[in-house]
Amino acid sequence: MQLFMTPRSILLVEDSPDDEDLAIRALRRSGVLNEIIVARDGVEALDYLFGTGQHTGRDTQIQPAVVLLDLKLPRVNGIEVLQRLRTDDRTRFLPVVVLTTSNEQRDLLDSYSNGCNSYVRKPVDFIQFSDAVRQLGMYWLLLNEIPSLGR
Amino acid sequence: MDLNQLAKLRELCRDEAAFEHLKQILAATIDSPFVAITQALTQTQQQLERQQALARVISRIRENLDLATIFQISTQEICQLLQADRVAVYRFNPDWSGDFVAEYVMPGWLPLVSPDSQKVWEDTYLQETQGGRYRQQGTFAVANIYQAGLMDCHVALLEQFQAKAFALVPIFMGQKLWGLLAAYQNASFRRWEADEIGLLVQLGEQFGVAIQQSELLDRLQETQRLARIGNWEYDLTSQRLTWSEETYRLLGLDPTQTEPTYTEFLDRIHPDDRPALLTAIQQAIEVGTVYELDLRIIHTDTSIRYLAMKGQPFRNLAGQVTRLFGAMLDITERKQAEIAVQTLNQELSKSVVELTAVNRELEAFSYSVSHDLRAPLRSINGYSQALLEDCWDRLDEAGQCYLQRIRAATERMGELIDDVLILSRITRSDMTFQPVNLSELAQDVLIDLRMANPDRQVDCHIQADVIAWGDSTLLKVLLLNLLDNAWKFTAKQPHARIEFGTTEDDNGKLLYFICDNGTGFDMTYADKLFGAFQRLHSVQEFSGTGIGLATAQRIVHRHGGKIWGESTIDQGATFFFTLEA
Repeated sequence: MQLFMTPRSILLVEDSPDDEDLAIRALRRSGVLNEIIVARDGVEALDYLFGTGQHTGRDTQIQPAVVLLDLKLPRVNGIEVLQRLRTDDRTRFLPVVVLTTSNEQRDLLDSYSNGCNSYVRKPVDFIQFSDAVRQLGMYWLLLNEIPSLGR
Repeated sequence: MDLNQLAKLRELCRDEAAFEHLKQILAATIDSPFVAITQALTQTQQQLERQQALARVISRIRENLDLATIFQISTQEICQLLQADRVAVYRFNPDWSGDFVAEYVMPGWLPLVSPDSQKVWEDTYLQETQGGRYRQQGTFAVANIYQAGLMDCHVALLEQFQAKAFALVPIFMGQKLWGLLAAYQNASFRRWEADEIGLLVQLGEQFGVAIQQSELLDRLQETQRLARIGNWEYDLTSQRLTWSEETYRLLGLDPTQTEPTYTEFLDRIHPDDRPALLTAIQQAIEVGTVYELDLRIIHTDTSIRYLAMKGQPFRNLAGQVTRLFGAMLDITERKQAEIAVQTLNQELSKSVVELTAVNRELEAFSYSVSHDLRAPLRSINGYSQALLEDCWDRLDEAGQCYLQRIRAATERMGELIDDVLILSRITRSDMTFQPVNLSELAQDVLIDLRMANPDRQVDCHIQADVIAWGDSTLLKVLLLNLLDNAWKFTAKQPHARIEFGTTEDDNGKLLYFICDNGTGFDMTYADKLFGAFQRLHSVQEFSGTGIGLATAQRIVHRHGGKIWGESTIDQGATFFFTLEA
């Protein structure tokens, strides 16, 4: 266990520029100063996490503290991303919070059965949204701990 | 000994006395047995003739199945044989009166049976004794009607028949006295010989058998006609077809027609069905298999009837199939019903396929709505808030107010989308039926409402342990919507009261109800209560999207029930619902 954690990043997987912008705004306003990496679809997210494609050569020992994952994404959707993360030893325990628009039973079931750590619906009201993001940041960046892999 | 023989003997005898003497000896030694033998011979001859005649009659009876023909032929034969003046068949009615159904009468005598004399004879003796002596198989022969001690009325009746002597024998059909066979002598009195009576008795017995057979045949034909079953037989040696009456009708032919040929029979059958039948018949003949198949018959009016055909081979002692016999049953109605059911099923499957497709589309649509329609609202809301936060110093009060309104509108739009999605989800969701404690559900809902509105004071009455059969998730949504309404519309009451319970309608059917003392609604618009997006109050007055009651109604309908509301303005509202049709 590391005693001194370097501030870890957040991976935001979001295809809507507005939502990306507003999510970052909400995080910053909540005092989250950690690095925020944005992936605009499932492929980009997987490339980042596994050091492939445009992220070839990235040190995959260093992973974000949490992935904020939208479900409806171009190319590879959120559920597929989740499946890939959970079947790979490098990312098995990586905290994934599904942050999405719908509260369809189907989406909740798919997300939980594929091992998401949390499911948060984005409220329409920005003030409520900011509050939700603030709490997420607090929890996943400051309180949550995960096992260190093979070390 | 006849006179010719005596004349020859006289010529041989020259002496008159010798002849006389010879005559006496002959008379004593030869004549008497000779006469007796001659007489016996004559009698035997007569009996033989009668027996032959009877055998003839009986064989003709057996050739015929038609009673009228049998009676006609037999009465004539017997009348002539007995040299009587009339031989008649008398049939009893259920009240033991009776009528003559057939007769043969010698020319010159009054006929008792003719198309214009359908007379019912009422013989009081026979009626009172229900057939009298004849019931015990007795016969009655009278040589002279005036010297037999008959009652006057009986004699008078016989005089009407012009009879001077008569002989009567019973005709039994099985155990039942059916009628009488009567021989009348009109021209003279007559002593009836025992063998003549015997002859009549035998004929009466044959009539009994013939009547019974005819009755059985009638019943068989009647049964076949009612059941629409026909039977048939095909003799392979003679190539002859025998059909019952109903078989003719089933094949669209006239039963009075002569027997058809095998080819004519095949012509009646739908060409598409012929090969199967021919194969079946061939197999029955060659292998001896029983066959069973459905066929279409084309009637002369081109209508098509369906027949179920069964055939069975008959083997002789040598094991060869010599004939086929079988039955056919009209199954047109059944077939038509089957075809109708098939058509319905096909249409139904088509509808199910269409419905499934529509449902899938609807699901895709609502999924897309759930994800995509809310996203732009978040942008509008978020950037309005950003404007308020980042540029507040450049906005006047009106500008700030407008942005607040934009935000409020997006929130309301978000609520509307959510409610529509709930409504659509409720229509599509799978249902699991089980006993559900509605009282507990209502309690949970009210606890939530109290927690959300701690400032409200509402007097709640919930009838304990109201158990319903239904889907617990949907029923919870139902109670949530109804109680939420009651909660909302009692907001302006200083002493708000909400009640949940059950009652019965006039027919004793169980009704669930939720009653409040709130604002109520105008009954004029009662039919609009349950329409989606229908509101009877303004949003400023009471919040809401107008989906709640539409959702409630859909849930009740999915449980096979009904829902309705009753109210007087400002005196509260009561919503009733049932859960099974």
